[in-house]
Amino acid sequence: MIDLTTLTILKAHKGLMSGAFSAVQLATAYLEEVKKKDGDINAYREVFIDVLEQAKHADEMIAKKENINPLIGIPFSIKDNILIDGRSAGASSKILEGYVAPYDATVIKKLKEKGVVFIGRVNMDEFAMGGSTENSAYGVTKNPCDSTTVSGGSSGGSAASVAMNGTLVSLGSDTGGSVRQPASFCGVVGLKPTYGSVSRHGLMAMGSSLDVIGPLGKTVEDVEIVFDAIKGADKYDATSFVPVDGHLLHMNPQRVEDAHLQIGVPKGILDQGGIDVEVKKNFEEIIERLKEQGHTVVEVELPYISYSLAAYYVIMPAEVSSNMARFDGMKYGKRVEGKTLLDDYLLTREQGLGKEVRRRIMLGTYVLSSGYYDAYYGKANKVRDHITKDFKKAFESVDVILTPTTSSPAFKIGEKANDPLSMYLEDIFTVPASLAGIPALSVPSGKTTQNSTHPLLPLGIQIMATHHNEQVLFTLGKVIETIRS
Amino acid sequence: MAITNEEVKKLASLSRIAVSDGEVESLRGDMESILKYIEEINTAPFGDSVEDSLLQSRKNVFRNDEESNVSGEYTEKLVANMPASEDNYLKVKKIL
Repeated sequence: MIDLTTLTILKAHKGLMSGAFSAVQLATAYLEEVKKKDGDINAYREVFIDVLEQAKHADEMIAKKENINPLIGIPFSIKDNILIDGRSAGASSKILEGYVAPYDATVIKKLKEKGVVFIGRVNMDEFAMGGSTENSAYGVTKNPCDSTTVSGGSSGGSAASVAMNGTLVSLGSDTGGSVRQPASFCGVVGLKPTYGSVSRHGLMAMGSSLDVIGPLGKTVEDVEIVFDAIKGADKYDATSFVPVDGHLLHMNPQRVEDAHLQIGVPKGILDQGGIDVEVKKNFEEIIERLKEQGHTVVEVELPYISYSLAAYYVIMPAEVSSNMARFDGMKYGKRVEGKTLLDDYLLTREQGLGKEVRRRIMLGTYVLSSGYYDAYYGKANKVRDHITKDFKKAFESVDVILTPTTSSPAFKIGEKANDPLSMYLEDIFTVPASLAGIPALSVPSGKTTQNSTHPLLPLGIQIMATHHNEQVLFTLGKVIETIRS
Repeated sequence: MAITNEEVKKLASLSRIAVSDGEVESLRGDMESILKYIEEINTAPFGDSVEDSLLQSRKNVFRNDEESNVSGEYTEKLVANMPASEDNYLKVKKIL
């Protein structure tokens, strides 16, 4: 019997290498958990039929001592907007019904070379637009910690599949918080890497200047191992790059171990309206513990951060409206027949796309229209420049910036479903890092203390650093993990 | 920013999305509250130097114009994904 609850990549690797269990046995253990729990949770859109064959292949590699690496035989779930050659991919949208991916995303190609085992593809908000998976055309993914609440989104299936022991690790995508927020809601670790550090080739585009693929797992170490495996420049993504020397660390990660880290907390962040008292209390506790350990905590000024969300909800829909133009019922997926070619477009998009996607396309069309372009899109880009500058300035005096990942724990299913604006406000703490393109990690920081009728809910803390400084996120993330335990 | 039902219909048409009369009103309400929120960016204070800084932090990145895969490599798979095709061509309704 393999203890999946405490399993990590390195522990699994040790087990596989020592022969304590095989990759087939490991995959079988996860498949059994999925069978037991997923009828209720609904994390998976599809469990692949060849999981055991993939695992057998990994066992053969291990037996032949071929390409031995920590990810060999490790089970993954993959968000439904990342392409795997020959398998269905649908971004949880009806408009892609019947679509079969014609090639591997670069991240998938890299993972295949490592010999990982893909358990299946997981649910998400349609085309990654949403914060709860309630926008999936295939039903909500419930939170394994409390199935009356949402798993978060848009990578809710990724977070829930890890949290319910339905896989060891997962790949999601993050545009404005879509890895970090569900990670926080489900009590797992989620990384939004530096924009451009991981290839987007084979990821269905949402907001192209913001999108990045990121790993989710139970521990910071697992997320770090997966990130190291998927990062790197790619000729198929012109925005991907490897940092040149000197662009890297402006500080030494050793300072974390020496407990001399300069930690910034944005001024006034905890006084924002709408922040849950439990979130505030938990955040303050973690800060206190970090101080006790010898780290220095200072307030940092980010004057334009309060405009982040408004700017994001201009820039992102603008990019969405452009990117979604390709889904017209002609080239792939579903086609609804009308009288004329134009009717085909109109009806396919009306019936194939869910309400939130249609709303964002129309919003993007509005902010990009000639009369409003400067007032919205132009202004939003100026705000974005200022936010980037604010971060740059702040990181001259601090090594990391900390905030809660979300302003409240997981909310009830249906609670925000009919109020798009209150759903947008979910992204308040995660959007600034997306606009600036800097890396951010969500780490579990404890649980709520009061919940008389339901289980206690996980809370998360977000660590941000300068571009390509993921290493300091991992180091401090591990410190927070030890504080928590 | 007030938005009218007519504007919603116009946006839907520009977006190539059919909307039923019943849905226009709810979309109008949603868009009005979202637009009201994003109006906030117009209260952000900007100095004169901002114009110069714009476009410095982000620029379009283009790849070199060279073939990235072998011609015909994906034809079969792409055609198989088309809702309607004939002899490796995408089939659509007559336009003229």
